[in-house]
Amino acid sequence: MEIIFLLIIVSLVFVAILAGVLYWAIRSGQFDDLEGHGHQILMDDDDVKTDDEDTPPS
Amino acid sequence: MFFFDRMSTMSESCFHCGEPIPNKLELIVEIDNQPREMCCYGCKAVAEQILEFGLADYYKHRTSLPTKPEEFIPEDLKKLAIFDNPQVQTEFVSINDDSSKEAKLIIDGISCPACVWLIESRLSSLAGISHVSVNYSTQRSRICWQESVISLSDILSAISRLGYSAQPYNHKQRELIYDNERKSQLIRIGIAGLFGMQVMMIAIALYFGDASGIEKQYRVFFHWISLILTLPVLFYSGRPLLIGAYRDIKNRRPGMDVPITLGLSIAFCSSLWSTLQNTGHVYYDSIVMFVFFILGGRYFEFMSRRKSTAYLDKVSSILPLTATQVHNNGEQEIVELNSLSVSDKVLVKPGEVIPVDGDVYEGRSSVNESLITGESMPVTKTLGMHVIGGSTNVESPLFIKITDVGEHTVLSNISRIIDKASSNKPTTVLLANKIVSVFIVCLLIIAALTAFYWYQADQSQWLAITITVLVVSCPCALSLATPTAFSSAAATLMQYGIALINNDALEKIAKSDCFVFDKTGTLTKGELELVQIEINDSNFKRDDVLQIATALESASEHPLAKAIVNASKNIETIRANNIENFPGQGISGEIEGSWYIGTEQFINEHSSADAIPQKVTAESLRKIILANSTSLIATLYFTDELRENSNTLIQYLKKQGKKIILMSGDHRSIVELIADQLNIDEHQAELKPKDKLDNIAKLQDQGYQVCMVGDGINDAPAFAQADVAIAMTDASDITKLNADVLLLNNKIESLKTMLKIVTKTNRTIHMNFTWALAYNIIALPFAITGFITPWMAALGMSLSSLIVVVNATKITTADYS
Repeated sequence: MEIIFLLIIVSLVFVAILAGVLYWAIRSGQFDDLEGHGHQILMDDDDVKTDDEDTPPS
Repeated sequence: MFFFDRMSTMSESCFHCGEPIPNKLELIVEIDNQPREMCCYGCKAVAEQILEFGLADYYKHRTSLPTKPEEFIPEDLKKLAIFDNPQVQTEFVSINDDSSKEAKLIIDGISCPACVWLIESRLSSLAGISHVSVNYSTQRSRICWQESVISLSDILSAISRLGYSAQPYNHKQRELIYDNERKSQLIRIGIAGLFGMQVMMIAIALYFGDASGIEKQYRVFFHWISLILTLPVLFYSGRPLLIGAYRDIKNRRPGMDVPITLGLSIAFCSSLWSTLQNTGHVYYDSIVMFVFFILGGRYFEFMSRRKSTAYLDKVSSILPLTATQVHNNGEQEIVELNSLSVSDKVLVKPGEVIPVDGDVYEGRSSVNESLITGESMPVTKTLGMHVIGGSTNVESPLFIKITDVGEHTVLSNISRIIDKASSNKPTTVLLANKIVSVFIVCLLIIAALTAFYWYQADQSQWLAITITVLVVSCPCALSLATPTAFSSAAATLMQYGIALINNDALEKIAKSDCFVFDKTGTLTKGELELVQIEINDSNFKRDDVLQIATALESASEHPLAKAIVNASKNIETIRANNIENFPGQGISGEIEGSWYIGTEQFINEHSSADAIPQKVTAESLRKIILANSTSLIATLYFTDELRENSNTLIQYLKKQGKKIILMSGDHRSIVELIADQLNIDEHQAELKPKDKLDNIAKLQDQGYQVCMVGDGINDAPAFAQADVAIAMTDASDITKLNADVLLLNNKIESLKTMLKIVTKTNRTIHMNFTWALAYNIIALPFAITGFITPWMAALGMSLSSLIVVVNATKITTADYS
């Protein structure tokens, strides 16, 4: 069970890293717009010409 | 996709903006190999721009239609050039480390996420732009650019060519402070959550250890790890609590943070002692939980308060930084808004925000005043009419002569009033704060007694129980109950164009059982209406009379003339010649012979007709007589027209069991007529302002809480006497008023909405207070007797606060129609 000493110390390091990432994420505005980006990924396709663009209303 | 498909089948509306296409206009743009019809050159230009830069995907992805773009005029580009002026830029541009410039823009017309994509894609394709992001939720955008490669005006014009309008905005404001505050709160919560989870995990191990045995070395290790993890939670995340408590103690005004901090410190010190001495119990799990929940509750409170001040943000960011000044020689120049002064002239193009208060001296358009009045329908503005800065010009260009700038405008007055109102605490809140202070002192005494008792009775438990008592009964919910409801209510009222000037008014209105109404301009429009035509010559019909009267009066500005013109809207017009106006008496003119319209005296003097009709229905009804050179044709009677919703309002108030009194300075028979029409039982006529004051004082002596509703200018003494004064105003005179509440949209039915909001608010406050008090009183005995553990107490306390906050936000979302 001695391994638990090591594992918990490791988890401490991870928590510290996570806290740093969280700090960065909030400060750099990752949580400012929770709506827009979700839609944005749908529009990133570069192939302008797709075949189904004029299919009749379904 | 749905929109795209639907639109391809609707050829009669514009492919770009969806507006109907005017007849015989054939503007075709080929999009995705399909000819698409456009409704105007503006849409066509925008669509072509979008295609030119390979952004046709926009049409596939959009989920709602954009607003119709203004026709793009190269002249407008010049206007943007002012933003390149370094002096103007000091207001809103900051310079980054890599010497690029950075600015925030407000972008108008973003209707769906595809717009964001369109703007971002277009701008990032421009050379010299190092960063662009558009926030869909706030419609704000941040751009960074290299001044040496591209100028700000080029960027702005690229945006306007896509059919959006962009304005830099000065973000050294409230908003920035809020943003920072929100972010640091989020980080505090995040840290408390992250570290708290670890502490809880270890705490579970320790609980199991207590139950089934644990080797001492592990327990010591767990204690130390928990201690390390708790430090940032307590001293970083919990810092605001500790500071708050320190401040409260220094000011000798025990607030919420005192028992919280006391609980936290006792728990922490005893845990620290146990850890160092290697004996006893640790409470690290309770500490982290408590801090996390408290911060969570405060974050929600903060956000709901944020919503209620959103109006002020809107006000402070809506005015443009520049205006088009019109010089006396007719030359137009783009200038900074600050450089304008009273009686300068400005041009406001359609779609632009009117930057100043002023009078229209040329042009005719409709103007959206929703920011000030809550009214979403545009209002028509013609020559000589007053426009308010902050409203948006909708239809066509308006030339405006400035009457007020800067500090003196209606908009800054309103925001100052609201700012002041939101900073003065209503008596209910002050009372609640007092109760909370007393409560906290009691709580500290109870906690001390509990500690004393348990220390004697059961040494192993006294600490946990004392902490629980301190935490569970912390009167957070109690202190949040009223202020959150008040701020939600004020925000909601503002949405409906009702400005709360005196915060105490909310409670007083709810208590009012007697409503006193002024007549002219309050229950009535203050405009005359033609009510009856008495025809004396059977050769003429009603329409003939109106036709002749209209022809004579059409050039007059007199209220009676307006009433006649209004009444004959559907009648064919004829022209009268040689119209002659005798001010205060009447008008003469020629339509196949001489005609006269005016007072009895005027007719007697000019026409040989002398048979003045004796059949007068109510002597005081305003009347004029129409006659030709020989005989009397008709008598026209007028009355002050009722406001559209006066009747519903009165019926509503009656149903609520309120006493209604009509007090007017007008003639008795007119007042009687109005009272009769509105079903008001009690009315007093021919009152001087002093009489109104006395009558209200009499009512108050009888025990009534009197709410006075009037235009506020003629009723100033009565306003001062009444318990609550509500002023109907068209927003231009607000500084002169001494009212508690302003109905900025000048609509009587707002009163009904207001009453509903007020009732809802008071019910919410009542409910919140009862709940918070009940929670504390019920939870306390359980804590004292040791039935709940510290972490349960933390959860209970936070939940009770959260319920109160959520309950208050319901005021904003409820339906008041």
